[in-house]
Amino acid sequence: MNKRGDEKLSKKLTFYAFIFILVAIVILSVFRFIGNTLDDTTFWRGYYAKDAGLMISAGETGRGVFELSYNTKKAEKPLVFNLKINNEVEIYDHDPNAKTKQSSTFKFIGDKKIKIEPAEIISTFFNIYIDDKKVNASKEAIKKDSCPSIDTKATLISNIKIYVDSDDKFKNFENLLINDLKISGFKIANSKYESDIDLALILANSSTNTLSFFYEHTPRKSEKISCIIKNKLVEKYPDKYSYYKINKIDYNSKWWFALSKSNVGLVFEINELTDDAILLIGDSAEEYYG
Amino acid sequence: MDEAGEGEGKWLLEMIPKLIFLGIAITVIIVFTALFIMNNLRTDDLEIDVFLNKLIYSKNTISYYDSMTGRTYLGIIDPNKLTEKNLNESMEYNGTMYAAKITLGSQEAYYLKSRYLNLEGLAKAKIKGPGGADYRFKKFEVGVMDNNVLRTETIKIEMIKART
Repeated sequence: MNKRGDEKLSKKLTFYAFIFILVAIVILSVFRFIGNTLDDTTFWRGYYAKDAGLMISAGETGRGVFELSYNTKKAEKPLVFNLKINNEVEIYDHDPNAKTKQSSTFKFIGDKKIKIEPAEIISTFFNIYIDDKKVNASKEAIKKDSCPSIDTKATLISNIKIYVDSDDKFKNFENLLINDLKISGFKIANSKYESDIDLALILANSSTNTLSFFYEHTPRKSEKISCIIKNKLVEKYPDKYSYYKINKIDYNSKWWFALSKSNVGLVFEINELTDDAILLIGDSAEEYYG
Repeated sequence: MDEAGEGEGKWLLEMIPKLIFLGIAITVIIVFTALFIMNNLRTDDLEIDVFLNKLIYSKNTISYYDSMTGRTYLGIIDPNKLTEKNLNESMEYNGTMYAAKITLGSQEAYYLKSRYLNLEGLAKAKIKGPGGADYRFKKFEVGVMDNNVLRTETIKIEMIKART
């Protein structure tokens, strides 16, 4: 009799465990789905489409010239601003590898006597120009920002160990950067497996003319050094770069390990480097620790 | 008397619909949460205000425009421009959301008349939720420039914005 009761209890426990696992799977998968499709960028896509559309609609009502300096820097992902001829603003994720286009559109009330000049802009900053005959948009280069004021000063630069790596395309620049850092007095790590690496700097190739930075941990410190590098490049080449973003690196990235091992790690993704730009990156490391 | 194990089998069968219901309930909650997040960005009032401003302030709609000075007189209406044809020709909109009716004294004009008449009943019924429409109206005194004579008149602008 007791044996039969134990069996019954055991079956019930197995069944409840099954229910619990099933519910957990459902909740996790639904949250994951929502997390993927309705992330922060979804909100900003809708926001920027409506905001820019209403601005243009209001701007067309006014007299004279209306020039609007606009930016989409609050979105986590890079966004494309698409002004369409049929009084429509479309904002979509700039992701060349995406299978489907993630976009938000807003149709605004236009003026039939004011011509919309279509423009598709991949840039964080752009200008919208409205007069009594036309509306057009043009991209604007990124500007200098004030960097986080956290203290990253080192007592002795010669104690700072830096690991430098790069994609094949930038191997020559990697050597130049290593030499520049050595001249400045930094120690250079020979391998990413070394212990106590203070800073990992990785030069990665990008397909677009953007300044993209990736970190694994210590976001504020990573933001500070990326901001210093960006400001120096923008100062040197004021019209060259139209997009700047800093994001957490993907776990599957080949650079993830090097970044996770160091105290501060940064992947700097760019499509073109010059000797001057490399020297500016070296100066940035010096400024960061100085 | 039940056969051995028959009670447990029955109990298991009874649990299956409960399990399915639980799954549906979780999904519905999450979907509604997602919809709520998306609907946080409500700009209906702002959109109607921009539309209203366009109707009354735009050079090409109903405001009195002096071509000699290139100036639009805000708050002064040109009754000759208050026609359905002029409104439809001055504003361009490819969506299906907006329509308006403007009444100036005894004069009446529509922007997208057929859409306005289609949506009017729905909007005035104040039915909530998707598929409905919002109705707003503004009534105020304006100047009317009629054959170079300025007189005062009451204008009523009724706007409808469909929700989907």
